[in-house]
Amino acid sequence: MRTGSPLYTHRLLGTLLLACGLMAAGAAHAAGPAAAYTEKGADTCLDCHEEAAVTGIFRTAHGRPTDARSPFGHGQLQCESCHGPGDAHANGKGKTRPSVIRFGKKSDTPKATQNEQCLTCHTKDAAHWGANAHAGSQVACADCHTLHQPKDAVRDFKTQTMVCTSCHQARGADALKPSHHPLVEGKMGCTSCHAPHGSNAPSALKGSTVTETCTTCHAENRGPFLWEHEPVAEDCSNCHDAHGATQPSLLKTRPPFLCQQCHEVQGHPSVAYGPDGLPGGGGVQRGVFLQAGSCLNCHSKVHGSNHPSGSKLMR
Amino acid sequence: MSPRHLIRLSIAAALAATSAFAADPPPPPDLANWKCEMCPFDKGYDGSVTVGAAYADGANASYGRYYNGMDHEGAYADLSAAGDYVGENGRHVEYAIDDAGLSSRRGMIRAGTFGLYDLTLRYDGIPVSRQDATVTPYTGGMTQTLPANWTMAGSPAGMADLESSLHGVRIAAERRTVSVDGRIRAGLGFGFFARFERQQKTGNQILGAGFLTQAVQLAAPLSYDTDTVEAGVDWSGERRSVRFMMSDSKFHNSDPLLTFQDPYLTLSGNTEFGAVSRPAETDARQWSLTGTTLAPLHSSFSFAAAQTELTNNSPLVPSIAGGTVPDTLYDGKVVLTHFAATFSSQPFSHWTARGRASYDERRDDSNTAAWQQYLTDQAPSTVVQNPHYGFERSFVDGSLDWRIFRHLSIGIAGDRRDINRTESVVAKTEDGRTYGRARWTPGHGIDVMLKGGFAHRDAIGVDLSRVLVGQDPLVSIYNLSNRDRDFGELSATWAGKTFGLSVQASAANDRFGRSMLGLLAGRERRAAGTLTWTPSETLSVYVDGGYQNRTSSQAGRYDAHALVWMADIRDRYTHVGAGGHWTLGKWDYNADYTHAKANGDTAVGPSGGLAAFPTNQTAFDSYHLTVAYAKSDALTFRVRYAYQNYTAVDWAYDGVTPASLTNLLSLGALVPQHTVNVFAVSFTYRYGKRAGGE
Repeated sequence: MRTGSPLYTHRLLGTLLLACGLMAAGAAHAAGPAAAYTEKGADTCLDCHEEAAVTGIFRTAHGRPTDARSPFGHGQLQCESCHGPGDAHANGKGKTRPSVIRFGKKSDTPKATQNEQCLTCHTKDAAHWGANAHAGSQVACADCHTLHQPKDAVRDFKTQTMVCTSCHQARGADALKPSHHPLVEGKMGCTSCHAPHGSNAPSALKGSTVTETCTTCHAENRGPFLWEHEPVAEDCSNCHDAHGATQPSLLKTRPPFLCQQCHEVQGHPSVAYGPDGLPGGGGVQRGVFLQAGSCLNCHSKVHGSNHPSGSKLMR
Repeated sequence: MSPRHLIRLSIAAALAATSAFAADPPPPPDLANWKCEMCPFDKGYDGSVTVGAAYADGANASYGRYYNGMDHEGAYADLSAAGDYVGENGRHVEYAIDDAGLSSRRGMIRAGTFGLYDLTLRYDGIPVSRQDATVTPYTGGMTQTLPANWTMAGSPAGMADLESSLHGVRIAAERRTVSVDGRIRAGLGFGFFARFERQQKTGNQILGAGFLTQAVQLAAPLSYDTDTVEAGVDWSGERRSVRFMMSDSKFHNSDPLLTFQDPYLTLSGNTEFGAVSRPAETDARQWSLTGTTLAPLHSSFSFAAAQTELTNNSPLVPSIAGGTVPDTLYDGKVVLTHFAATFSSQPFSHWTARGRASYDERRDDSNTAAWQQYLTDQAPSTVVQNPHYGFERSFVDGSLDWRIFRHLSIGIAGDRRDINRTESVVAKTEDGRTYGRARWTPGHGIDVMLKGGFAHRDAIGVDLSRVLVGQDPLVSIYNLSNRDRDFGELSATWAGKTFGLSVQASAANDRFGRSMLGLLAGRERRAAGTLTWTPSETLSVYVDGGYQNRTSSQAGRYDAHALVWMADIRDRYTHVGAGGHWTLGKWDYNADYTHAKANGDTAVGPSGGLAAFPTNQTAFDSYHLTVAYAKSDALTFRVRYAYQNYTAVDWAYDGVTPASLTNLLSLGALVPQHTVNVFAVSFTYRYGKRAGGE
């Protein structure tokens, strides 16, 4: 068959390459002439953009002339490092004035283009970013960061939670629950546990695992213990909801029912601890199993015990 | 034209086109003209001091639960300061002190040279008060005793000396963290960093301690220190980065044992003591290596490897009060290993692929021995061998997204998690999840995302030798049982010129179908939304709200012949909020309102005849109003009023007094309740270059 001959294969390959080449050449032609940089750099820009909302950049890391990595460092492209070549914009007039690359929620620049500008310098974040859920959700760097403000709200625990929960609304609601980490109080931030630019851990955690992340602060529960509690050793989130809970101690469910999700029989009968067991409930009083600390009234070493006689996590 | 010529011509055309693309970057500018003469570079000093006073009317431990340092009614100083200095050659100093008049104070000072090195010292206090109406007959710290000639009884109600012996004890703790970290950028992309942190946790906590079937609650002192040292080096180039770090974290607790007098009737009739261990001293050493690289086809790759060694070499405590320490050593040692890699690629503009794989191992190398158990000090029980819980966990996920139209993209994703456990009832679980998603971005600030899928978990290899006598081997243990889950999410945003609307909703159903015992089903419904309106730079208003409904059902029975009992649990949570910010000339107004409410219903009983507990309720209302007047660039006066009301009804705490429960001598902890009004006045004085000075 002709289709199997080397001549046919060569022609097919050649035609395909020619088509690709011509398309690419056409696209290159359609892209138009290369944009040019301004004549005087930032001085050109500041001639018009002298407002505080712009000059705030000089009070941030991006506006430090002595830092060679900064856009205003020696040999850098100043405003045009991030906003791209601006000559056409500077010399344009009226409605036909072409826009430079703009950042923020009201920008008409595609988010991918915005992010490319940032990741050109922030190379450490660049490779993590691609696989990050934020990238998957088409979040722009400037959706969270305010670059021309001396104080970037997302970098301060006092305001960070507000920034994150403007998208993660359920987490914002969790932070108001009766039992919560001090997020809305500004004593810690989402970034105390998460790496928003991406990490190799689940849920972009800073630690390798959930447990490693939690025990950074809660070191007393990290063990090893002579007597361990298996779900504690495996994952704190088996029992706790770190973002906030309506139950005390960030627990997912109220003891004894949380404990009874696993311990059907554990040394004493698996009985129905119903409301008749409360004082005045009319049944056999089971307050020690239900009230105050519930199961933890006796099994208080629920995270592990170092007592030789602590196999029941009571000592 | 021969085929070879055709190919050569084509390659030439392609190369020409590629070089045309490559030529797109503009010619470099002549930087000699880029003098930046108009750039207002930061230089000189600048600072502000805030001085004021606040009065917290009605503040108590319940209010102090909110980490604010206001745990009693009274006046508090409102002191804060911040400032910085930037000198020639980029030398700088920066400092900030917040809430200096409260135990929630924090401070930071940083110094260095931009781009070369910096050194930062931080302090942070996190106070948490829990109870201020708790009472106990016990005195002492790590040895808690009852009054002399204590009359023992079978239950707290019969303890004749209890009422007269009770005295108040506050339950509160404070975490104080001091850290110093430094970083040096050494050129050629290399950087070195080091950090030392000391976390101190002091105060007390409620601790349960048991005597077989009877228990007491103690106000147990705690005094923990955790010292952590980290150091490492990183390198980053144009497309790659590598980071190596070592850390050592030592947890200190100088009081490994708390002993307490038994208030109940003892078998011997004599005064006896019980004991409960406190957290042991442990050490965590870790090394980690991470790296990232950008690759062709808009691809990226990253990896992480880490190993952590947890050790516990602290001496054991005696098996019984006043007894000897066991001859056997524990020598706790657990090794955690972690490997992970991620990749992403966008080979074509319309296709994006992402993936991650990880492996975690927990290997327990501690000494294993048989330990004599004592349920009470006078009653030797069984001899039990300490278990070695460990696991190997592998995880892999991947997703593929395709932008099929300009405004519409769809994707499919899945993940798989296998866990092999040692010394567990269930040797292995396999979790798989598959979901699809679609995103619609038609412009005009509209962005809609829909996601839905299902998951399945198999529990494999039940080890009958580890099933407790009487327990159904297939009981649906929360994290070790078969489970089917389906879930869906919707998020939508609409960002207009002056307003923004954002809505999220999710639903998930769990079914634990293999057994009629244990956890049977779970369900969650959630929704939240925010509406913002910003008609100008000086005015912004928001309204938000949310709802959550979480239910679960579970069952149990004593043995195969007993009746099955059921429990249905339902937790509902709602919140609404509103607020705004308005600047009018020299006046600045801020107002916020939040209402949050939680209801918890539990019904328990024989199958078909459940009886309901009283509904647990919490209600939180908060108003904040701040008015500021800027008298000048340098001076601002501020008046703040905050109201917070928190009420709770909880059958686990309501009516519980030291003598009210048959087998528990409790501290009588109360559910949190407070109504607090905070009035504050302060002024902020600014000095330096941004206050109009130079």
